[in-house]
Amino acid sequence: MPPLLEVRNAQLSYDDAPVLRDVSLELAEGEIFAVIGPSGCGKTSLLRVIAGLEQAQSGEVWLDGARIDATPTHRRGIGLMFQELALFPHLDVAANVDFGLRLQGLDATARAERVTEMLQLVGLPEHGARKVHELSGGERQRVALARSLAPRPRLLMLDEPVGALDRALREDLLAELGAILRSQSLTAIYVTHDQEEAFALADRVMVMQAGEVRQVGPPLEIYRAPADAWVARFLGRTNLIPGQVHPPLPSGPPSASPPPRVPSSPPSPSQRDGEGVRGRGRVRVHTPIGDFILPTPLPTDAAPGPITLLLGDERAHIERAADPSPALNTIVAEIVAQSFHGRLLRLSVRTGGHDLSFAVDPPPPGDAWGVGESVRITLDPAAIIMIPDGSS
Amino acid sequence: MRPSRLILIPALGFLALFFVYPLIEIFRQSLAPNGDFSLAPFETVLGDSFFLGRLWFTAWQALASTALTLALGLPSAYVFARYEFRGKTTIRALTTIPFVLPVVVVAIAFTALLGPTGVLNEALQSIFGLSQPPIRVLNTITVILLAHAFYNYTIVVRTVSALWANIDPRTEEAARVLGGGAVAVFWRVTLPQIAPAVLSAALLVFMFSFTSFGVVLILGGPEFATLEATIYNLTARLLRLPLAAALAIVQIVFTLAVMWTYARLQARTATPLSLQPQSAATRRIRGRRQRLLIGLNFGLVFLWLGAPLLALVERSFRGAEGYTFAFYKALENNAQEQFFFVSLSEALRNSLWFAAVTVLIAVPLGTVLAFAVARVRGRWRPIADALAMLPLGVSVITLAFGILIALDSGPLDLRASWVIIVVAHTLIAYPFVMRSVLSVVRGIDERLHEAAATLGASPTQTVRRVDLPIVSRAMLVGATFAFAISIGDFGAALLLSRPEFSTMNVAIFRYLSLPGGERLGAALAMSVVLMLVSGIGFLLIERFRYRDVGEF
Amino acid sequence: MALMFSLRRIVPLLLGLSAVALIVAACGDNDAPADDARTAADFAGEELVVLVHDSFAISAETIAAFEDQFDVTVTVVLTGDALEGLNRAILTKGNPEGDLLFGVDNISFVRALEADVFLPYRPAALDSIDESLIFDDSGHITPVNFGYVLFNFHKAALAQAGLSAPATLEQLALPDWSGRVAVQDPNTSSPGLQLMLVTIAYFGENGPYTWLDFWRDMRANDLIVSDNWTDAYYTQFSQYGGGAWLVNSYATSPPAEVIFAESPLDESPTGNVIVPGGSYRQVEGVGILRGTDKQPLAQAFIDFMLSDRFQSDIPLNMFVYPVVNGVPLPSEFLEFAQIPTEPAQIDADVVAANLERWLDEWTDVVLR
Repeated sequence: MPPLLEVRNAQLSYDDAPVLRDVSLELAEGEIFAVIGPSGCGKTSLLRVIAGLEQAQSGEVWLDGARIDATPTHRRGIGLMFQELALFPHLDVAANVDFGLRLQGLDATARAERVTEMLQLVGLPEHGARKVHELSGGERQRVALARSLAPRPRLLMLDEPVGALDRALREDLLAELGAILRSQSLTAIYVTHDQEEAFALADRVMVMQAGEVRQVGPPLEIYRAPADAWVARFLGRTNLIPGQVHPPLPSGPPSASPPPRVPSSPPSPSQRDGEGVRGRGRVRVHTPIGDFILPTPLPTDAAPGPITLLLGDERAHIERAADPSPALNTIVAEIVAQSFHGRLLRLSVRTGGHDLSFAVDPPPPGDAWGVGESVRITLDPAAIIMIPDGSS
Repeated sequence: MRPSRLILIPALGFLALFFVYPLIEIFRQSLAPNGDFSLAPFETVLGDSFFLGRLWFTAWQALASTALTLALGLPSAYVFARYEFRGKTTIRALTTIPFVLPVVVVAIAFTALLGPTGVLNEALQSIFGLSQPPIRVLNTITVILLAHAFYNYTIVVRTVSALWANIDPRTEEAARVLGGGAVAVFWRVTLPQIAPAVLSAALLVFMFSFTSFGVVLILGGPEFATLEATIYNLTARLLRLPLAAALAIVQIVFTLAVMWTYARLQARTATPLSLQPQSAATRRIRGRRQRLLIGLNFGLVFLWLGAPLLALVERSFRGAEGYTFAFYKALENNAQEQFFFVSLSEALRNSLWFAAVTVLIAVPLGTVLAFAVARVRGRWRPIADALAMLPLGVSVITLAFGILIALDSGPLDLRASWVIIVVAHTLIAYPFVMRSVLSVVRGIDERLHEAAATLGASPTQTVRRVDLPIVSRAMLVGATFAFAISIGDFGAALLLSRPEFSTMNVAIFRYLSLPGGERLGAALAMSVVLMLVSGIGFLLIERFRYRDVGEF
Repeated sequence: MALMFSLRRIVPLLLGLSAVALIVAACGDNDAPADDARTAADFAGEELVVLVHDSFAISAETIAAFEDQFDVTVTVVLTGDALEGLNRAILTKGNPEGDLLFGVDNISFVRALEADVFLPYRPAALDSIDESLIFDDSGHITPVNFGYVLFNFHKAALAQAGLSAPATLEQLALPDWSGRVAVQDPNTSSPGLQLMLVTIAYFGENGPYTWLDFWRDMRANDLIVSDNWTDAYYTQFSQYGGGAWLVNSYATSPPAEVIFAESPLDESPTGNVIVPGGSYRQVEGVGILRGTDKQPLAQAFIDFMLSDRFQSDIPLNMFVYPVVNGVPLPSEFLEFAQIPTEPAQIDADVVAANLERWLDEWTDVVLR
């Protein structure tokens, strides 16, 4: 089946300042696709190019197997919910929702039905006669959503749809939004600067920076294996250490390190994958804070040379460091700060001039760690990711 | 009493003294000279097909003029509102220049371009080998409408672009995404949002065309006459005061009805809009299509506003033997040593002085009235609004004669004073200030006042620190019009003129009252100076804008 | 912050300034209060207000001479066109805007006398004025100047078309002059009104071809009608780029063309159309307004207006002729202004009685 939407090599610049550089993407029918990146990364411009509000200098946009670059916005059948909502201030709620239907030339009964249906869907069945300026922030968001959904767009694009709301409201609305999008079996592009939103909602996520696509993939894959140090940092994964790959090791179980003690969490899929990975090969990485041995998915990744290591904190094991000598896949570090976040304890540690941070199970009662203490952190090799990017 | 009400007293006092009282006096003397009020003049006026015909002609030509002006002005308003480009301020100042030019001079320019031996006809005749001039618009309704649009174009551009610039452009994009083509987007999304400004501009253009005098008589020829011109004739020349008063009252009732309708419409269209600072909505010109669009727009504007103006400039330098500065030199040199000679510097000083005083009175007056009208609630608001606009609908000659007989003794005998000129200018100018400020005052979010109050601001402080900064831009727009109205006025200054307070327009009139090429040349040279000076004035007023606030 | 700061200062300043401007102006510009004790011999420091029409002009030195002689100030106030000025005087009767009104003519004076707005005065210099110019027998209005209204022709245009100026009024309706004649609306313009009177006097109201028949034919001949003299002359007349070869104007327009030429001329580019009964002689006068408290000074000013000094200053300022016999005329007047021999004879009382009807009839025939 051909993709519903395809963008090929889109280039856009304003006054010689590049906004989109060679952006391509494919979107399957029914897929919810998130675009994330910091503000100014070009994600809104990408939506505007797809919607036809902006004309790319080069590149192609295909929808349903037809090229639509020259199709004016209003004939593309693509919905867009604006970050600023852009509700029509001169119309009431029902008329806002009705707007697209009216332009489709539907008869009055069908329109009225659809408006009622949409207002019910977004939970505002009684608000049809309200003026836009009488609504609360959350209600406006819902009206904007209803307005975008009403004409049944082939593709719905949402630009930071919950960005302006406070946290609690945002989470509620987000859950509802996901349910609505699935219930309408819509194909959607969801733009946000917040990866949690994207991960919670999307089938696939695209990370953009400075007009470029840095990585595309399912949320878990992106989280687990950021394509580069920048993506890792953008996702809040800041335990990045420069390292050197040693020549390949022979296959077999790790020799120097004890098998990691797995915490009480259930086995994750990656752990099962780990079995397969072990067969492909392992690589030894030398870093200023110790040496690490980790499985590599592909032997080619293990070419000797500078790389960056991302130290994941899943299943990390912490204990008081009786013996300060480093060992494989362990770090000995000094606690700089700690803060408790519900189930997990966030430890900020320093070792060899590097600041690292781990979310770990709190120590048993009566055995609290103190700032300034030395701890030994044992990492799960499967949570250590090699990023082929020397700079960190 | 709240200080904000106290400030209303001088404003209402001004209107009562210089507007209401003179009008009542002239109507009393005209309709009830012996104390017995007679309805006979009304019966004559309303029963005579001649007068009714005048009313009908006046109304429909004003409506047609308004439509034409809007059609020409709205595209330009869009360009001014949505695009940032070099020379924007200068071009906007240029569009206001026609507003100040005396009709006789504009007639000369139009004739030079469109007349039987005008540039356009001669060009067409030589290109197509025609024996007769193909364009015959002088003394037709066409030239009246064109001239009204020529004069009032700037009202539409300034009033509408000020609001348009603050309309969120994403609402238009949202409409496109929802399936709206260009026409649907404009009709259903843009127009409803700019409607308050469009209506406001339309009302002002309508009133100016409705009470138009010189344009209709001079360019249209004597077979066309507005109600205003008829009232002038009946009053000033024929002294048939009862009939004139009856017609003037009919005109007042008609314009009140128009303004009341307008105020009702305005109330319906005015919803708090999601206004943006202008910088958020303006873009630089990008791409060939936009360049073409904007080029076309300004091409049209230059052709149609610029060509007559350029024709004037050209003729002011054209002597019998090639181009010369002689006419400009003559402006300072009283060769005939005439008592009534007004040197350029004197005329300039008078014009600028009257304009400055007019601005100083009209801007506070219009602003105070705007706030007062905005406070009126419910069904009285359209009535208050219409009443405050009334001076635009009252015949100038009626008011002038009213002032003659009402303000005629004691310290109020201002009949021979220049003050009366400024008063007349102010009465025409303040409705512009009021319109411009009112549209913004109504858009002010009530929550701002509440916020100010919780921060400890008294009502007066709230007005000063919250409202005035927000309306400051609108006050400047009003100031531009007040300046333009005063410096471009001709009637009021001529109705009462002493040599020592002759304005540039009076000087132009004096030059054109005797035959001779040099006198025509001097009149045109003075007109060019008038254009220049007013252009510079508009630019200076624009510079007053507060950049840190943006245009709300 | 900068904004609030400046506004806080500017707004009260604006209000204050405008109030001050009004008060100062109101106090400063009042006429001096009446002082009955003053005698005719002592005018020192008084201000004489002379109301004039738009076309009044005289040299500054002449006015100064009067001011110096009596140690007074003369203030000249324009009050619109001549009819408007008279109507303002009628409206403000008893409490006039000034002391004298100049611009009442040999037709409008009937209305002025009816309204009784003038005080009688017979200056001694009346003796040296041609009897036919003294239009007000009742002695209220003193003639000051006179001029002729007639058609001017544009010499170059006629030469190019191979035409010569018309020899009778009737000829104006011939196809030669189709679209080539510009006149003014008598409802709004004084020369327009005077031309209308000329045609009434010439063609008459009765008979096989009345004055209205003439105007009907003129209209059919694409007559150009302007609202005022300036428009007719400067936009319709071919001398200034218009289409009309003939324009209703003044006998002194050709010399004015020479005097106000851009570069010296040997000959006027325009000429007067001299046809029997085809011109009108307008005499303008001055009167003392009832209600003035400066009657003696006003009388002195009228005497001054008939003095040689003032009379000889009239031609080159107002482009009309002085009324007093023997006042020398400028050479251009003698050279370029052909004086019509048989101006139309019109009785002012008849005009006063019929004017409104005539205007309505003219408007019906020419404009509707």
